[in-house]
Amino acid sequence: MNHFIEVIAQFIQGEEAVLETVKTFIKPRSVKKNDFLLQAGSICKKATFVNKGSCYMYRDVDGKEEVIEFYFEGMLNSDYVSFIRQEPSTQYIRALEDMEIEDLSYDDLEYLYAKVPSINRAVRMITEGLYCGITKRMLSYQNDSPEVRYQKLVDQRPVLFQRVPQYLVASFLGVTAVGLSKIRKRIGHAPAGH
Amino acid sequence: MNHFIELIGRCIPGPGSKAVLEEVKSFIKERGLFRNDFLLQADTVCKKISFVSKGACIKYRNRDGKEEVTEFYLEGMLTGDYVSFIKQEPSEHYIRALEDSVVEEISYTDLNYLYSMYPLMEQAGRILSQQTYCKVITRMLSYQNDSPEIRYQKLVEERSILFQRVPQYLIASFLGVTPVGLSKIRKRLQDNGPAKIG
Repeated sequence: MNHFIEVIAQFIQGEEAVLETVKTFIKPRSVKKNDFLLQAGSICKKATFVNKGSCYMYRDVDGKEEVIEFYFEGMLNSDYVSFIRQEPSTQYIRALEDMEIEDLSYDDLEYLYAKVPSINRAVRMITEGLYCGITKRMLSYQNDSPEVRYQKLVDQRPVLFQRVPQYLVASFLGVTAVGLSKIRKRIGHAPAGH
Repeated sequence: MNHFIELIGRCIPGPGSKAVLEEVKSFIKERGLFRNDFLLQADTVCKKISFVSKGACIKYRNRDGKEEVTEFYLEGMLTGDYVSFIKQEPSEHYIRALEDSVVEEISYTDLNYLYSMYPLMEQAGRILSQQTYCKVITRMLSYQNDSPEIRYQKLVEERSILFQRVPQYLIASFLGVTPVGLSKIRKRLQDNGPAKIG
């Protein structure tokens, strides 16, 4: 999937006019490495699709960065909770590489819900997909050891180990950088790309 | 909130929704559960979303003979394995009544029929899915980043009722600690005062 509209189109089949309308509200832009897509304390006003490059979301807790997610090509990113509730975010989203992205604003989406109701279906189904992913991760954090979480990450998202610095992957796993090294040593192999 | 229909009605507050809600209501079926009855069994597909109008249920997985509690549902909450429901794939969870309960249910087939018939139901479905998402990600972040102490404190502050209605060992499992671990946390907090919640 290379464009935002394709994500939506999956769920609104045979409604070309609707898609054409939605398309006019999607705005492309470029982001430089290290630029912020979202700053803590501000409200997330856009849902963003990654066409090219990568970014990551984190919280700053007492000066410690807690990584929440990495986003690569084909993924939607935003602080979706802040976006849904239109409340200030506690999170940052920052580009790990130069990026090309497409934005759909909250206000435009609200306009579209009223104007083309079937967009509700697309957003529900996108949300359901996100829900399934987050639930899986939650159960893993609740019940899996850090070793098992690491192994799952190697199996399911090997690209992280190629494009993201180690210390950020460690934070994402909820372990220290030293902890991650120890896990790798215990498991006795390095992931592909190292 | 005592009824499923009120939860849906809140998502579509306009004057045009009255007729739709009447129609939706006719698809919601009430049933009673005795304590320990199963609402869902692992390896079956979750075909209903249920609203707890009375009582309490627990959701858990059984992994290697160990029960892992994943959620408690009290009055006013929706229950079901939403992942299994969305994908219509077998669940790995059990949902069981902790007390005699009354639930109001809508089936997957009926819900999809209602979505296809009424654009306002698409709006309600979108909003309910977003609310559910907000809840699950808040919990996920807590498991990812909070210590067991802080998870315990948040539970005390946000869902104190659980401590009155749910056995300790199930709360421990929900927090991802052993019962002994939970006792230790309580003792540490008594001795040292509350940990800082970030």
